Amino acid sequence: MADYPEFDGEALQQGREIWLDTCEGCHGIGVAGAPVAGDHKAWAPRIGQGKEVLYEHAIDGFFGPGGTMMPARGGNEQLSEHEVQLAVDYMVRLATDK
Amino acid sequence: MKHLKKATLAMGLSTALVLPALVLGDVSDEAKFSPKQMTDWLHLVMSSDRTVYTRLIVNRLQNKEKVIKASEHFEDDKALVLPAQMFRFGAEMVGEQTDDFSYSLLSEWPINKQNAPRTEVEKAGLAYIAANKGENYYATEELGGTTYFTAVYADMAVAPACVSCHNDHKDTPRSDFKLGDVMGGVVIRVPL
Amino acid sequence: MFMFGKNTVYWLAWVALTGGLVAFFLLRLFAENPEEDKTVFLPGHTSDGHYQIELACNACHTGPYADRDAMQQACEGCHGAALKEAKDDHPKSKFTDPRNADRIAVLDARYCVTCHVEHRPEITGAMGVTVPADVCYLCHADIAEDRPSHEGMAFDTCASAGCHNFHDNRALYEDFLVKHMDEAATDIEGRLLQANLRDIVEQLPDYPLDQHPLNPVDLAAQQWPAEVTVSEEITADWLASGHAASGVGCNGCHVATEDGEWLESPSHEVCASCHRGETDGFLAGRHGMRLDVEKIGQTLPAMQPASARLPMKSTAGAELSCQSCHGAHRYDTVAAPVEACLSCHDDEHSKAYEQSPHAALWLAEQQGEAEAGSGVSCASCHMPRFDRDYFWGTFTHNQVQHNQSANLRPNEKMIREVCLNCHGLPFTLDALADPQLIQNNFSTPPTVHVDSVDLARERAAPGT
Repeated sequence: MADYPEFDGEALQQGREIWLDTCEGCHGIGVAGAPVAGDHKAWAPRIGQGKEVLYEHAIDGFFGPGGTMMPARGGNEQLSEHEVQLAVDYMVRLATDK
Repeated sequence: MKHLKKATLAMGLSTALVLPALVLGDVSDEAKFSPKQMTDWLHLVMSSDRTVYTRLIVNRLQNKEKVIKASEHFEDDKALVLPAQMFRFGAEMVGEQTDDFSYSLLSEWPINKQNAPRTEVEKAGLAYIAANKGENYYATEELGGTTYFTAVYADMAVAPACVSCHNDHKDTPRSDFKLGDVMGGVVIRVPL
Repeated sequence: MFMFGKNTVYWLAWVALTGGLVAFFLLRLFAENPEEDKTVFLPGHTSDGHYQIELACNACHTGPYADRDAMQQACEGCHGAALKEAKDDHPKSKFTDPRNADRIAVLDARYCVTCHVEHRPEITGAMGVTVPADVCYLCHADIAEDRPSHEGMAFDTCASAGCHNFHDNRALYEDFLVKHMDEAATDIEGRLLQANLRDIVEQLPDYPLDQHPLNPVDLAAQQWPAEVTVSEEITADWLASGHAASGVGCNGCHVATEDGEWLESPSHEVCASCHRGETDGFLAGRHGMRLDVEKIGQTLPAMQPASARLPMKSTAGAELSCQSCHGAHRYDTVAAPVEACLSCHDDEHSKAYEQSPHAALWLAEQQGEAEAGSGVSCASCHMPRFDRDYFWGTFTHNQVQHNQSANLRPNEKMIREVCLNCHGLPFTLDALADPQLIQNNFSTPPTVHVDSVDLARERAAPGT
């Protein structure tokens, strides 16, 4: 399993925990068309749409143009909206970190 | 002179035998590809077809457009075939038509116990792909007097429906699957 | 050097006898007439159904040196479609998978003949099965680990208790039991399918509507050769039939070929030009299987009730054709489903029909006292109407299943297509498992109880 970096700040630490528990299953190696964490090229156009869009898609779920599906809250109904946002923040950081 | 004749004859004969093969260029029968390449390609076709079915038919019509559901008892419920069933039906159809290869969808946590690993390679393969996500497992085994090249590919939970159906099914031996988890494996066999 | 000795006479007699015997067998085996009696070569009589064609050796053996695979092809040629239809739980493809190589070493389920050996009447059980009743145990001995409720069940009760079948479990699988577990014994609102040919005939791809438009035709328009005598009874019967009402006159059946030749007795193939599905069912079932030239590979005379293994009336007709049940010219759809059957069949179940509750309902319907589809004739159960889908359900033809084997044995085959139209599943399972009820034609409540619904209920909602 890849060693995912830790970043400073409590929010990113929390986001990393949530991300590892719920998101990494698919975004770790790209299951079911999920963009792989840390793949700058795959993430650039997504991040370009703005964080609000990413939050919305992650919280409510989203059908991609190729028939792919991002399930609401990553399929983990236990997560609060805030927790999903923290995980998104962590993944965006992974995708923009040099 | 006598020897020359013999040599000519032999050369003529061998040319007559070999030439057609060269001219006709029956390259398709040359053992150019390894069994591993074969199973990798077969798996790519299988997984791509299933993904297309899952995304463009089941996800689109059941989850997005909400016009039809998918169900294990698709005929009685007038519903779509589950992606895993579509895969099994394909495997059965292949089994009816050829012995050149076979495949099945197995799991260490099967709903139908007949789909639990049975051979040593199946057991080792499923354990390996579950512990090493993203990797495949290859081995050879002898079954019924024939040696097979056996490849095991991870099958992952790609949609919430995979997870909820398996976790909630009354016959499931495991109820804590999460999205992205390895739920089982595709086993492809080619006789050597 | 040859010498006449005292044994010469014996030697000559031996040669003559041997030659005679060889000639006898060869003439039988390679007879010009394919109907030549080959009984002498039968190693033993075949099972119910097959015995009708047992002298057409090649129907199953396909040729003199046919191997097991060739014979398997022959089995599937007749039975393959029904097995597919039944969602066979043990299809061949399950056993050709190398992961089951150890299992076929124990029971080679790739071949029908592993469990259904022929010519062995002394070991042949119900459904033509020739393996012991513990056959399930060979692969499923550990079932109690998965289903604790099955702990302690005898190893030969899986199929005998009305719970499981090797091939067809369409009405027995657990979710089906759960879905139907609370149904009442009888739904008096239940109705059987009614004929709908007239409503959908324009959509039927194989119906010659251009030759027979659905308009009534009258007697004046009919023609027949001068040498044919047509009685008043015949014309009256025809005028009262569905044929006269839907554009089928004398020539519709009696002139079936391009050259306009008059057929005195049109065969089932003539019927098939409008009623293909019904005819195919007839040819696949016990009544018409001897006439299926394509599958048998030779022409056999039609089945005769006198050759049946079931008890038949001595007054039964000579041989079976479409007309023997439907009556030439009359094609009476009221008489065929009961009277025709009872004119031959003479077993206890048949004889008990007229006193049964089903018969009372049928009588009421025929007398106009009850709704269409509320009565139950012999055919309602043994030759029921079924929805035949065309073009993936664009329309359905409520066709009559003329292959009685489709709903006959094991009698659980009858559950979905027949019984559930009016009865609940728990009652149905009990009734079908009760030999006494089968004998008295379901005239008394079941005294047998099948546990499967209870077991399914316990697992679905423990403690209820």
